[in-house]
Amino acid sequence: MVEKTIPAVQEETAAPVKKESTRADAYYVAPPVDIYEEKDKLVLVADLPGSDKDSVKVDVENGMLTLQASTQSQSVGSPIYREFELVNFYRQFELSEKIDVDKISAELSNGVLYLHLPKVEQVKPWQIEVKIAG
Amino acid sequence: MLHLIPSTLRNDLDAMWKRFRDPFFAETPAWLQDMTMTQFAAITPAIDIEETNDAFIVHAEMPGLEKDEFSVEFKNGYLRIRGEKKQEAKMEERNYRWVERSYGSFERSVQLPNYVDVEQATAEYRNGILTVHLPKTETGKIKEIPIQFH
Repeated sequence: MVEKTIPAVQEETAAPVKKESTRADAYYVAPPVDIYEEKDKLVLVADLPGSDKDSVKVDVENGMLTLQASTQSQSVGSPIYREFELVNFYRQFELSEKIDVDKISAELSNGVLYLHLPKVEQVKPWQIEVKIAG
Repeated sequence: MLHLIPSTLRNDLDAMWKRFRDPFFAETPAWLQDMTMTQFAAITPAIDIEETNDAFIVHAEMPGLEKDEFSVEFKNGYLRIRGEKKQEAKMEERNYRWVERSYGSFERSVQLPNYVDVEQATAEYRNGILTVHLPKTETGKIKEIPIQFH
């Protein structure tokens, strides 16, 4: 499993007059993750503080796992000291193993996502397909 | 992000941190003794403080903690958040492919003004964020002073 987050496209600000905006459209942070392997599955654990169940989105497409989560600001007063901001999370991983996409399960607990990625059962692991170019 | 720092630089910083810490922190807690700076930075919760007319609100980012793993207390004018994030399994017991999340003990203190009504303080933990609500006493609230026009 290899991280494959595609960096956000940096827009060139050629125009001298900047468009007025209240908030950047997309501000993403790659969450820290642990990945470990068990006999029949991979488990991905990601810290997503501030995300709730409805905001987490997991996709697998063409061997690429995409993890997304959004957070909502709880701010009620005026900030007097600031070390963190609730941000949106985004990260992609290339799956080297064959994952049974239909059996992926996820749970979110105290801002931590546990993603269970079951491996596809190898029916005939000894059979190797040889392709001859030409 | 921490894992992206080249290891030699990180080692230098850790060594510097150890040298710097020893003479100044007479009462360094046991858990801090063995901690490198990078570990310390990763496990220590980031905090935000907000102020409204009625209260101070402290948010701490500390995902993945269980109920019995941390506490919030008020001591000598300081709000203190401390705890220990325990690893779910020993490193050698699991076949880890990738490790970025942090574990260990942490402590964070915030000095509070004397007009905080500690008796009325409340705290909640939700989605990995701790929110402590500290109401102000009457002296801390904004009062408009009437102006007499002549």
